[in-house]
Amino acid sequence: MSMLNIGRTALATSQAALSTTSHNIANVNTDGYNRQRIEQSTNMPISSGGQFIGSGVQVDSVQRIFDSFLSEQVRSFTSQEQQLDTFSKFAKQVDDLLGSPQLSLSEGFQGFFDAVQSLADDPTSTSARQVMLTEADILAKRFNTLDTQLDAYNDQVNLGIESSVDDINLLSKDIADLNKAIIATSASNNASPNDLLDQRDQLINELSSLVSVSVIKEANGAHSVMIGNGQALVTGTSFASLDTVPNATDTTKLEITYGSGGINISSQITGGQLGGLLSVREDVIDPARTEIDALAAGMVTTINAQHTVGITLDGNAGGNFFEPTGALAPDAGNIRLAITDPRDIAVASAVTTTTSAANTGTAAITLNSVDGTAVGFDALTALNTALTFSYDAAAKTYTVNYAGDTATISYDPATDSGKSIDLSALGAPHTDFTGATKPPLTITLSGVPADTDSFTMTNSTSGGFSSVGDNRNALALAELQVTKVLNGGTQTYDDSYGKLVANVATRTHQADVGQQTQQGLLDQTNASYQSVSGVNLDEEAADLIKYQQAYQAASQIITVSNTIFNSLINAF
Amino acid sequence: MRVSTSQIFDQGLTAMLNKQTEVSQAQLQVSTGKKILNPSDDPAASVQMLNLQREFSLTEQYLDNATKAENKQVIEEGALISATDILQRIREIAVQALSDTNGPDQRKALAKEVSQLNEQLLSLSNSKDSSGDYLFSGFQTNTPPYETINGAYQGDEGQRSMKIGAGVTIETNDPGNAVFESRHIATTSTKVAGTADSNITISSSDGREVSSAITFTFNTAIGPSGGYDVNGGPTTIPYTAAESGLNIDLNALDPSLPNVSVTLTGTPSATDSFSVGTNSSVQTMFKTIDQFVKALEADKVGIDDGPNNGDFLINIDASMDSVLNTQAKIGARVNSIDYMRDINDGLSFNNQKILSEIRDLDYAEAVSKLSLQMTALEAAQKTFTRVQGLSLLNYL
Repeated sequence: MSMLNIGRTALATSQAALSTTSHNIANVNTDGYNRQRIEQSTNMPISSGGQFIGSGVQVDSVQRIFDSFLSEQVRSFTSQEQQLDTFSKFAKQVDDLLGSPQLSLSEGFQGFFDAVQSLADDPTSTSARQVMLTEADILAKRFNTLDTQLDAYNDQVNLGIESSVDDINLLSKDIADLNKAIIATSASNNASPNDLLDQRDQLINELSSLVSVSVIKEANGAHSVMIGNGQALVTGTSFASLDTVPNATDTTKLEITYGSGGINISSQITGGQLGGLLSVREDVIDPARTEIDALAAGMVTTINAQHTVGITLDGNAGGNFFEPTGALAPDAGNIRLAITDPRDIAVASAVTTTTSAANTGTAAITLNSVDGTAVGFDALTALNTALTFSYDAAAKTYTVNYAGDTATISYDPATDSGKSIDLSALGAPHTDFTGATKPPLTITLSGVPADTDSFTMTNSTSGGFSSVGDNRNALALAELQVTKVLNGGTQTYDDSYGKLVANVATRTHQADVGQQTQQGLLDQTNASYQSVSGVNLDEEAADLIKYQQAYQAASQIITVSNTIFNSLINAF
Repeated sequence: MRVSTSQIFDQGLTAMLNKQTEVSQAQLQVSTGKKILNPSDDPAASVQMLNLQREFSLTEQYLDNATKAENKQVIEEGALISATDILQRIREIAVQALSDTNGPDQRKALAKEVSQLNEQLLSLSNSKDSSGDYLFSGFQTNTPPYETINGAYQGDEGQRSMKIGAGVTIETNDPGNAVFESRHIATTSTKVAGTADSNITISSSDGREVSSAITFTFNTAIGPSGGYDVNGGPTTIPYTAAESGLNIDLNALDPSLPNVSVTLTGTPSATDSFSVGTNSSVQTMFKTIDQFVKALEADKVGIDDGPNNGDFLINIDASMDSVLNTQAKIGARVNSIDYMRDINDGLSFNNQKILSEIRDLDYAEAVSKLSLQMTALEAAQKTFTRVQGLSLLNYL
């Protein structure tokens, strides 16, 4: 009887082994599947006549070949790789945007300022004026387009956050459900539910590609999953939901909240696609939006300041050149050209200098700049009372009269020629105007004046405007291209844009290199993991042969035992 | 090491995908001719490229400005060369007309010619450039600088500048009053007091201003029968009516006096006094020439005939100097423009060269790299199919 029994256990064990091998072959392409193997051992021997006689084989367990350390490593590298991958994908788009010649602001500035210089070359040309307006419009539109594009990337980040949060919630629920199933089956069967474990590990892996997680193994077989600073997504068989809310100060940005309390946990989230989205927004998109806005505002302020101190072709004060749409502060998204008529470009300067015909010296006074920043400054009324200079050769001073007020400028032709003097801030060795109203001009004195030589500075429009060939304000506008007017006088427009491009490019490059490194690490760890847990078809084929032979041999045991039994029966 | 089947598959696949990415990147480089496709390919070089590109375009704009500025100088110089020719012709005629060999009729004829030349000169001062702007009216380019021969300057002192280099501007026009106006000098003698029987007239002058008027007072105590005290003495000129027409070179008499010669005529009496001085004011050359024309017509070419044209040759020389001076300025400006252009050409070439080194692809290198990558891709594809074909299951 024992032989038949042994045969039976051998058949059953081989069958189980064949099933497991088949299961492995069947799941060769299943994601997250860990190969299984049966553990078999001899049955309790029967004591007979003082000897132990073997009683066959039994299946102890079906084991999954699984290395939890490698599995954790894969999970953690997946989170990091996914974060950098997402970061790099978005950063590359911003990088492309800023670097493309069709959208780049540096080309826009160049086109605009070339047009300004061409206009300065030919101040009465209507076509040069029209070209300048067109180029300025293109420049404003480049700002607008960049802003729209960056907003679109921000929207994409929001969409990404929303869909990641939805996925995370679904995965949390599924993991909690699997925990429940695993606890139930382990308790009733006392065996490991390998395929459920695989599924749960796979779900946690998927979760880790969305966000960095830490897993705690509970005694009852459940896995609890935490994110951020220990916010539990799954605790045993229950789970918590994430949600999104608009940022309180900038409603165009979505933030992530945890649980029913709605606690904002955006700043605590790292890793995975979600971490990548949040960090690319913080490190690339937000700074780019802020810098482009600051550049737009700075440009509008400085160009307008120069334009408003000039005089148009019709003899009016130059208005704002760029303006924000609506009563908003100017930013990249809302700036546009404020002028439509080419005649309204203020190319001429507001100040005319007249040298007295009686002068016998070689001195000259030239205007450097008009300061239009004073509140209520109007290029038409500034200096409508003439500013007169007359030289006293003995005292080596110019006496300056302005609206009944007198100041003196010390000028020694031997040492001071070419010096620039700010008339609104005269200090020693000069004496200042006594009144509060000072001429908002900076001038340059040069040459050798004779005694009583005099000069007059008046508004170009007083007595009718006819200085249509004056290009001084256009030259001053053109000069803005190479003057460090932004960021407290440390950057030109191009410098500011260059810095932004460099920042984004460096971040993108870093993320790219980082992503490749993480990809390498992940590939290696995956290889180690796969080399332990992955199915090898050749191995399974060999196993098939092995267990098939064992099965055939076990069948022979049954046959032989049958023959023996028959022989015994026939003996009667 | 144990290798799983999916791992073999994945590895082969990843290898192929990576090679494909490399091939496509290399292909893009070859097709665009650019080494750097996105700023992130090389952040430092990209920023350098932005700066170089800006410098390059700026320099190109400066070169463009320089050409325009030079054209403007050439137009202005053309007008001024013609003006100089006309002034020279007027001076030749003046020398001829002032010569005593000419009578009133010849002088009238010459006056006509000078008058015509003066009109030509006036029209030159109203020259326009290619865009129809007046060359010589400062900023008031729509206003003709001089409308009539005796009219005042209508423009202003404005001088337009153009940027021809970083921080370098060059003037591109000269206001008419600096070109066509100069100091007009007339040395005159006026009777301050006394009878009409005597006179002192200027016979020649070196054209320099007599800074303080010289007084001549008749004093009977001088010499045998009286004479003039110069500036109240001690220099004196003995003179009697019999000597009428006496020519005195004042500078030879007293080196402290200016180079002016006077002619003494008539019968002086004790209270007679004269003052010799200079009227000096800035006036247009058209007016100076016109005054000369009128003098010729009236046959009054004496040095202090009114309107005084005795110093005409001196005054026309001053006018010519003013034009030549402007021409010299233009010449100097053209030189600076050429100099800046050389510098900017050099800069532009260098910028382009560096830009090209950073940005442009080395085709030989890129194409050989591309073919190498294509070979690698082919190898990856071949090994993939071969390795995938190996399976024990084939033999069951």
